[in-house]
Amino acid sequence: MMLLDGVLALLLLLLAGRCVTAASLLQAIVAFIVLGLLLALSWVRLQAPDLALAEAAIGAGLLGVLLLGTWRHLPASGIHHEFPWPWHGMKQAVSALGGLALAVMLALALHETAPEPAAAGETALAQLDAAGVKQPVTAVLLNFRAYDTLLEMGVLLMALIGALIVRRPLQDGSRIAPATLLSPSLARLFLPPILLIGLYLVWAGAYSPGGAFQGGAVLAGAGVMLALTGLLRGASVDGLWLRGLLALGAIVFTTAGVLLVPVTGHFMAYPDGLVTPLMVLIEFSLAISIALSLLLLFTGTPGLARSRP
Amino acid sequence: MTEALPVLLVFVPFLAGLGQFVLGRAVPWSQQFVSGFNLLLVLLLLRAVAGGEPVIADLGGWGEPLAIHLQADGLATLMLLLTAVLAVAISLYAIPAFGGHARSAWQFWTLWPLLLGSLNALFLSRDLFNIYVTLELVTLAAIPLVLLAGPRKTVDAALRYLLFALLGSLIYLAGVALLYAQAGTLDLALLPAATPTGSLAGPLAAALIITGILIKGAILPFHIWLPAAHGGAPAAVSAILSALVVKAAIYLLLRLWTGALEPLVSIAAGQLLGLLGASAVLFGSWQAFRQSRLKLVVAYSTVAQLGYMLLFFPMAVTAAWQGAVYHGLAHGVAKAALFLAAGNLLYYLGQDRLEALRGIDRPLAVSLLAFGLAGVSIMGLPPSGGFTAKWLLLTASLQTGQWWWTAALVAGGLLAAGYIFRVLRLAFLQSAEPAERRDGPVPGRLMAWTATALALLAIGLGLISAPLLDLLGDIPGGGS
Repeated sequence: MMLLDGVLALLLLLLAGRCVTAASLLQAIVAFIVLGLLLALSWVRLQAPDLALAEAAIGAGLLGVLLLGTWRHLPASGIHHEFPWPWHGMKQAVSALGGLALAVMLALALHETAPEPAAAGETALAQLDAAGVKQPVTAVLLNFRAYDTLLEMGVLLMALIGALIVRRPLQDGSRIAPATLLSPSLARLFLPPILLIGLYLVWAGAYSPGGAFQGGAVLAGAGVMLALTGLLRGASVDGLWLRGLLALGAIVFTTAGVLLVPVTGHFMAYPDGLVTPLMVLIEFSLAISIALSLLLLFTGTPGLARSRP
Repeated sequence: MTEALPVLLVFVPFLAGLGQFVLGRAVPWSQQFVSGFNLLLVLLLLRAVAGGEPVIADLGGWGEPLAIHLQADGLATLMLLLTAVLAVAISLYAIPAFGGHARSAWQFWTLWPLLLGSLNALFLSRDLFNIYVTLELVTLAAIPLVLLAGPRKTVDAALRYLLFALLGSLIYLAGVALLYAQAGTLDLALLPAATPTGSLAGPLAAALIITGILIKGAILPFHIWLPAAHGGAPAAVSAILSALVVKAAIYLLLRLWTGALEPLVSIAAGQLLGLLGASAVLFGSWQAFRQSRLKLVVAYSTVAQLGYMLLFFPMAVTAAWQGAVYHGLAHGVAKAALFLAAGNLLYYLGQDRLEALRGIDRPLAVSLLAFGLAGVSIMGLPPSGGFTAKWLLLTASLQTGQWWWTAALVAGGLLAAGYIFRVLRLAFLQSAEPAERRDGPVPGRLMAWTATALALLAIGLGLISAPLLDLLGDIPGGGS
């Protein structure tokens, strides 16, 4: 296993280097996607399956799709995207030296810091029973530090609004028809199992690795597949229901946090007995909002529509 | 009941923004209620904090060290007050400036309450990781707002802003991770006692956190994203960005330096920050003097004015503490007034090249009055808020015997007079010839008078400093 880990670490470094030195943008993107997959594998080796799932689904999967989608749009927007490599030496030298210095200092600092059991982490594990779920990561995300997760939903929503403002003028009449090897019938075949996996991941978050972010990303992946095969297309008009679903996660989360104050006495606390059902409800509404936001980031449109057969 | 106030300050604007988003069209008047209610909440908080005890909310009821706490002390409350007052004025200004019909109006009235809630969340946060989240929120609300001036014009500036902000976030987050590995807590109140000193990891973590914040705060040499973004955004947005968003980063620096990072920082680091601040003052003012576009003059002035707040770090006495924070307040109000006034000129002229300003004193007298009055505070002339702040900083520099900061203060003030009078000279002195008629609409009363009201407040801050400085109190921990 030592050998495997060593090879993995070496490959990570090589791929990261490739990302910033590749001759064309496409090569850099491909290297970045492979880097994401290997990172996911590294998280598995470090016994962090939650991070591995998130990295594979979001880091490698959806981010890769978004990067490739953007790359495909570049010629139409008239943006020159082949870099004059090698870079102007100065910038490259400064970033390389800065990165190297930081890495060395971090390594030295981590070497001398004996990792002690973190106080807050210990307390969290001790209180897991009260948190209503068996999975520590979910307990932190949805209960102990629910406030952070709620604010992150705001980040996602505003990022989507920003992306749509930029995408608008680029796509006027210049959308390139997606060319793909996936046929619509194949997509129909794959759709039910992918949806099932996505929903299972959301549900599983209560007692094993998984949760709203990983499950939502898989659901978004299903949508991306439908969009690529032409079964689903972006629309320039958004409906009330779509905007409602995009904000659903944040609204359910906030409402639960505020409405239950008379019962619990604290904001964003859950009453005993209702902890688990409430957290499952919140988890699913978050997953829906996350999946839709990620899908709209891919289509680059404010709305969605079924394609006419 | 008071512990509900911090939570409401975050959730009320947040829910209002979400509601606006779902509704799908702009409802400018609802935001007036939100900003009014927000101000009311802050005033109630002000009364609660005035006794000297901070107001604390324990989210989820998990207690220390598990829960995230929201905490309003004197410093946080002053920043909330600045935000609330500016929110009322800017929301009013934005009614005619954005209208209610276009899609961009809906986007503005959605993003602005979200940004307001995010800023409140940042000022109230007592948790290092939660601060990271709120910094992200503030940035990702601010960047789409810049794009509202027209994506084609501003996409370069917005992308540069985004890349710098993300770099800053990552560096900050690396520092937080390193610090958590040693201290085992993220709570600002628990960190000083839990942080082991004398190792390399601690100071490295502090350096990373501070560098990340400096990038977000556009402090020299990380200022290069600011002028294009603040100069290119719509006027109401420029006012929000310059007066509040970058200020939030400097606020964090003040809070962490005197609190959570206190055991890790050194005198040399303080001198370095002071040096960066003084360079920002001189360089930013000089650049502002050289610009040929009005909004870039005002944007470079922000680069300079943020530098004054950094002069706290080398001196670290109560006068410097009060001076730096008061400078944040005075600059916030004055800069918002300057940007709104500049927006009015731009609205009328259709462009903001300085030569085009000749002879516009008659149609735009009120807006120019606002520009001049706000300029008085930026220059630091009595009796403005800017004067009080600089006086306190000057006192601190004499108290600590570090006279060289006085030189930066004086030179910065002179240069500021240079770039403000350069604009006013063009607008007033050369109007002997008949004023040129232009096609642009004259900005309405709401646009002219909100700018003037803020400018008057910037002057007035010099007269009402005592109760505000009482609220702020002495430097936390009694200084080092």
